[in-house]
Amino acid sequence: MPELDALCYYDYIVDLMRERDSLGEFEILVLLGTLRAGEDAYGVTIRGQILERTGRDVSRGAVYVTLERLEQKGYLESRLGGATARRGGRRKRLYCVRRAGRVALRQALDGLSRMREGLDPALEES
Amino acid sequence: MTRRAGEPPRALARLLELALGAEEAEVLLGDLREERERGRALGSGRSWYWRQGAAVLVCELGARLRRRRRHGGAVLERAGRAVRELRQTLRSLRREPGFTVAVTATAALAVGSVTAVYSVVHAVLLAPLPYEDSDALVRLREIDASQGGRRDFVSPPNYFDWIEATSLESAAAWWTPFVTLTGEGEPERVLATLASHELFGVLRARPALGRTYGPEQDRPGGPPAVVLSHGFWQRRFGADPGVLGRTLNLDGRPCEVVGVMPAGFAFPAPGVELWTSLQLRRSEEPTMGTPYRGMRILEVVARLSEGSSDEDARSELDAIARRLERAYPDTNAGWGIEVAGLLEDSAGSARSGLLALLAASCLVLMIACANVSSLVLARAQRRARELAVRAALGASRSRLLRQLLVESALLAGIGGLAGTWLGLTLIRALLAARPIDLPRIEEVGRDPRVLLIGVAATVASGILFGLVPALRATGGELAARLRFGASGAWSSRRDARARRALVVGEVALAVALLIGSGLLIRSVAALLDVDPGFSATDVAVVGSLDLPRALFEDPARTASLQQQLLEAIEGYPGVEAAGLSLGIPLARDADFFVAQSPFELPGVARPDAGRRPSAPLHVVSPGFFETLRVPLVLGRSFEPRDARGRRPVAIVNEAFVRRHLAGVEPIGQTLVHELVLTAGEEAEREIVGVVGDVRHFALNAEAPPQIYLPSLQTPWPRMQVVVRGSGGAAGLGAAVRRAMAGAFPDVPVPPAMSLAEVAAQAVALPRFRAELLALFGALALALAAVGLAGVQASAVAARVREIGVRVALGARGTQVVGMVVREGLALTLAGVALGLLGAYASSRLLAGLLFGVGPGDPLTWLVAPGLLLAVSIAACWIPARRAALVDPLEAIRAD
Repeated sequence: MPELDALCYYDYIVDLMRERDSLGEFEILVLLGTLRAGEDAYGVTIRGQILERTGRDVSRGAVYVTLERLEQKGYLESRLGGATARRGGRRKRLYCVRRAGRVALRQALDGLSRMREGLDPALEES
Repeated sequence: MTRRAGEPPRALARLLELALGAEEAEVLLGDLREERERGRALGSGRSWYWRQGAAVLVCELGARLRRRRRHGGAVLERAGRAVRELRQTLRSLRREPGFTVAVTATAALAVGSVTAVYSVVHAVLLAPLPYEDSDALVRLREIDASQGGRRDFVSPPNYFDWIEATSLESAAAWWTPFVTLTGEGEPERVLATLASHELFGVLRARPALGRTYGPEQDRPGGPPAVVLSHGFWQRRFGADPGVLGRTLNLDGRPCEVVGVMPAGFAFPAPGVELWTSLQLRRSEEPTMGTPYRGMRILEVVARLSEGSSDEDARSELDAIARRLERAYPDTNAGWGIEVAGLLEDSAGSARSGLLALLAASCLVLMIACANVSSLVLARAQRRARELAVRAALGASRSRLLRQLLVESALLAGIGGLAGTWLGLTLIRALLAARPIDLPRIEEVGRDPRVLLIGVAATVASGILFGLVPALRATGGELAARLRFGASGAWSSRRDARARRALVVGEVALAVALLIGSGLLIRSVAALLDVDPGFSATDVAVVGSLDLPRALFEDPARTASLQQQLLEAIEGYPGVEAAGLSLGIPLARDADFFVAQSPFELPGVARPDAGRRPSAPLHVVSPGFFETLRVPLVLGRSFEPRDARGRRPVAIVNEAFVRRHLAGVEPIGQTLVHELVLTAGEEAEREIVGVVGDVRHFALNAEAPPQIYLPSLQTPWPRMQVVVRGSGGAAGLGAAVRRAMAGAFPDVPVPPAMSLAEVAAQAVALPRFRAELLALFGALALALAAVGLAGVQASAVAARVREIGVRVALGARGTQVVGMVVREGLALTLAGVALGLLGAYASSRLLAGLLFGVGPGDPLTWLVAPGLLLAVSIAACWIPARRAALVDPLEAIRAD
């Protein structure tokens, strides 16, 4: 075996980690909320969806920061939407899930459901 | 102030805008407002808004901070990785010192050659002249169509007619003699430019102090003015501003100092100390037999008028020349006007030679790049398995590519830096040791822009020798390489083919370069072989000695004083012979007093009834021919008895006899020359002697027919002294100085020079050219040899097993050696064939630089390829020996 330096392995591991960077639970919530809100997905409606479905009044700031991060990862895209009287004439930022976001979401959910498979009895027991 | 209910507090809005930007603040406030409207919010409006706003802000800023830290981390990490990469590269280069030294040294040599030559090209040919809008400046000259377009100076009346051309904004006339400065301290002989007042306007030159002179001081009979050079002002007047208004005596003419030019202004050439009124007359009586319009003595520089091209000027001046031909056929028939850009004109004949050198240095760069490329390729081949493993483990192609390119860039950078320094240092040292006479040569290497060519050459070489091997090494065959291993035949075959192609190219370029340099070396050898017609050893030159102007009026007295001076010089111990002459052969100021003087030979029938023959008139003293050992072929030399009032005599050279006196006895013939130099001089002379031909202006030009007049009959107050004897130039010069101090204490005596050195200057430029080109040729030869040896060595290394099998099957050592050498020779022959084609195509370009050999000189065309073949056999010998020593058992067992 010819010489191989540590650098080479290091690169390899860093690349691995980067590729396997999976979605966190909160990110899954926000992405699902965005999908649920449909055409009119923005801060208020996304948070509303999460509240409505899970009963969790999640922190407003956490939603904004997560939306931003998901956008940076390329899972979401956003545009400025129309202003309404209810908002005091202010515009909103509308979000839309991109293909990559849908793929990542499906992988994460598939993983979760596969992990859950056959565990229902165990879950009920507790 | 009205405020709608439910609106967020303004202060909060401002704060959010500040923290998040207007757009994000708008979105957030809109969301908050909407949630309030929907009735989800509890509590009082203002505090709710503040709480919500603050919470979001904290989250947002926190996230930003984390992001920044992560981002900063990434930058640090990337920098760290770059440092690690660099260190790794350095380590791997240090592990192969031979490779590293070979590559950097080759790159340094190549970049150094290009930088060195380019620095000369830049200074002499490219750098703009130091005048405003210098592109619009042109030199004007008269050309004599009847003598093959011989260029000449401009006569004053012609100049006055030319400046009426509308395509010229203005034109200035000048000439640059040495003048004697008296009155203030030591008398001194200084180079002065007598220029019409337009000069400063044409050059757009402004004085650093005072003013320049105008038409008033340039008018004939007006009060003449002088403008000093910065250097002269500092040297002679200690930079005293009070010099303005003082009066200097120049050749006895009192001139008012009106200004000082800034440092660096040196028109027409460095060394000029002052500019003074020319005071040119538009018309004058014929002097000494020549009409004023035929006195071609001036140089002219002009500025094209706004919007005119040199073509416009050329056609307009052509029309003027034709008009003048019709109006003044005596003096202007057959004369045209030459318009040349000042920059191109100042470089003159040096241009083609320098461009040939630049092309040669670029060839060296290409050969060097091919060589280094081949080395890098070979190294990549050695590392093929390492690269393949890394690729298999997930290192991306771009990453491997980057590492290989970092390596090449590092090598090229080190080599280029060293080369640029080397090139500039060497060229300056070379020029200092062996000055060559090129305009602005003293500027070489001073312009920092020259460094750009070093950088450009470095970058070019880095890309040239780095990219191809890197792309090949990281190409799609990596997996295959892994399977076959570093010495596997499959992986290296394509690389080996590439390297062989590079070697063929190298050899071709080297052959072309060797042939070019061979031709130039043969030219210089032929030039040095030329017999100039005189002997320069043990001869010193002192000149010019300017006797007081008053002596112009009294030729008899001038003659006797000069004769006394010669006798005084000859009286000093160590002096064998001494003579006076108007111009020294092969010196920069070799001009005769009269370049072409019409004459008649009444005793000889003229074959061509058309044009009257003419020849240069040369004035020399008794002792001149003896001092320079110019052979006397017939008759006698000049003697002290050839004085004024005695029978007027002349001596001609052999070329004159061949051309004009063929088949007749030259001695005793009567020669009537039209031009009379001094008052009371006879124009009808008897030819008393014939001397050998002297190459007066250049070694590469046949001596034209020449007429010599004795200085005792045609005495001229400005002469140069030649002295033969022992004691060297300094000792002989001292004798002249002491003799002058006795006879003319007021006349400055310039330092003596050895005539051999003066004459060597005549071949300095061709020699410089040939030496540099020979250096490049040698470099190319060495590089090609090294490249060939390298390729054959790795071919042998790659085929160790095959060779082992051959040896095992009974091949003898000599057969193995023969095989390797034969293969190397095949590459060389292919390269030589290509190179001969290239040389054939390009040798025509050199034709103008050759002397004594044709572009098809058989010796050069045989020796250059022969040399390459011999060197390539030697280069293949080392790897071939190694191949012959392969142990078959080891070779087969290995791997």
